Amino acid sequence: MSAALLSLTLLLSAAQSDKKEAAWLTKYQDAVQLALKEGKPLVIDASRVG
Amino acid sequence: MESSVLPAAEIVAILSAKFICVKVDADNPGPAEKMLSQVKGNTLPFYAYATPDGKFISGTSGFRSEKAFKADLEGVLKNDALKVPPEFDKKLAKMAEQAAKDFEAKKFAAVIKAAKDADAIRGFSESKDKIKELFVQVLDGGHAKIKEAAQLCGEGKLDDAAPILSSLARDYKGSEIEKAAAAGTKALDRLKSAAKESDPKGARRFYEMIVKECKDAAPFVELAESKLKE
Repeated sequence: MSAALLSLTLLLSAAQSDKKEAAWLTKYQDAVQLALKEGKPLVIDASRVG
Repeated sequence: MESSVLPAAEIVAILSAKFICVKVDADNPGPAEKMLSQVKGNTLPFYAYATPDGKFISGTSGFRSEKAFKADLEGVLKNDALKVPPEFDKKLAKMAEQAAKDFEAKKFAAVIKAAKDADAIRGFSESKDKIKELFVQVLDGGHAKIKEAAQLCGEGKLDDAAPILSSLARDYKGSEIEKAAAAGTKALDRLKSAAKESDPKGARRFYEMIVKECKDAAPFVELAESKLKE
């Protein structure tokens, strides 16, 4: 696992352990990479920013 | 969605356990555009769902109530593309049956191994969830025993804690409990050394070592911290 993906995974785990809200990534490519690695489906939320 | 639906406990639980979530700017979606272009409708927000290897499953346009969003998520999870292939599902069913027997027989290391093996099989299945539930129960039981061992130490019954920790290291091989038991055993040694110290300063040194070295056994760290405050 690349260092970047490892830190992403750790970040996600830390956010999930909080349980107050799901961890929403902001970079699509990171999410695609993680979904493939973990075998989980992707949910993409497209809203207007600001 | 942002303030009422996404923070709802049930939604958080499903999203955290089953999905990888990403937010993109609807006006500038970048590489997500191809996926979002398959969503029917014009009202924001858009939600698009895709398989782990990036194939579009479904999508929605516009506000979704908590109930509707939950149904959307559950519907996605039932999609055939996300299920464990039938031949593996049969294997998982047998594994789940065996894991239940192992759990009853307190063969926790076998349940831990089954959970790891099941996790290596891609896709969702009820059998996989059953194995995971057993695994969580095994871990909860292990953590409770670590806590019990630390409590005994807090009551000065150091010799009673030792067999609990050694059985944990043996019975929970391959899990975080094995690590916690190893850290607990180290903490127990430090507590024994502290108990032999006649000088409180000398004892404090051992408690500080526990705080520093035994982080995997949180109840022992808490015990050492409370001793340091005395």
